Amino acid sequence: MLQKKICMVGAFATGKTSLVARFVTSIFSEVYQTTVGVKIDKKIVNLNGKDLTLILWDLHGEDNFQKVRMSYLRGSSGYLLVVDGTRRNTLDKALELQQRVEETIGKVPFILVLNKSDISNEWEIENREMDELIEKGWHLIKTSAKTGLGVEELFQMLGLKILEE
Amino acid sequence: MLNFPEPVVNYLLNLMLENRSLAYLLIAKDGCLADWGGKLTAYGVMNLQKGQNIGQQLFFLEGLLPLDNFPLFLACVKTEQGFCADLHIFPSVQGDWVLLLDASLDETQRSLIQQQANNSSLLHEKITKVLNQ
Repeated sequence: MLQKKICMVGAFATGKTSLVARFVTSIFSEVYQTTVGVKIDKKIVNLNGKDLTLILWDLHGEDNFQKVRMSYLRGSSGYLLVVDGTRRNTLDKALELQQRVEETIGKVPFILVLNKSDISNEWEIENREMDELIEKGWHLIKTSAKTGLGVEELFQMLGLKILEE
Repeated sequence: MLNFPEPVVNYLLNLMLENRSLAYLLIAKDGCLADWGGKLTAYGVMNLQKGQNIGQQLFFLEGLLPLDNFPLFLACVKTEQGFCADLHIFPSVQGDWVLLLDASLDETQRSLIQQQANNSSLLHEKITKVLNQ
């Protein structure tokens, strides 16, 4: 069966692990638990009648003390840049990480994920900033690992973009 | 081969085997499994098939191989079965070698520190946000 590796990239506590857990097991936990190293899961998705196994690499989040090791991204067919909509600095971190990822593995499909849309009243990211990224040709999607909003669509969308390549 | 006395080398090897569950895989350049050994069951790895594609047998290796003549180190790789390993991958004429070393203890210790640090950072961000309002 066709298999593709995709990586979850972003600042710490943006919800990368929660998005994977919601997608793979339909479970959400309110308790924040940090990721050390990388956690690998897989799930089969059906795209236009074809089965594709997504190998999901949930990388530890980047913080002031720990940079994401780009070696984890080797062989990745695509990646998800995860942002916590309630923390403006996580968008800056995502933009910085995107450059580093592209320098390492080249241009592969990616999606900017604006997570925690269930508390959009607390958001610090303005529509103007999102529009600017869309104008650059980026794909953005709003998700909530808590409610499940946009999660299935997110992985389906990335899977399709990978298959189109 | 080494500038170390045999008892030292043997001691170190036993240490790796007993404390860190040393295991290895040899993957041919066509991506098929050529050989394996060591404590692979400690990582939940079993029923391997020689000559079959490794990515289909061990999904965490999908996309990583073959190497471009440079070694690769991946720390604290955790699979769905919950095993945590440091992966050392290096090339040779026979193919690419994958060494697995148990990293559960390291992960547990780092996780405690990392959790505290991240919780503190989140709290700091929240306080700053409130003060700026």
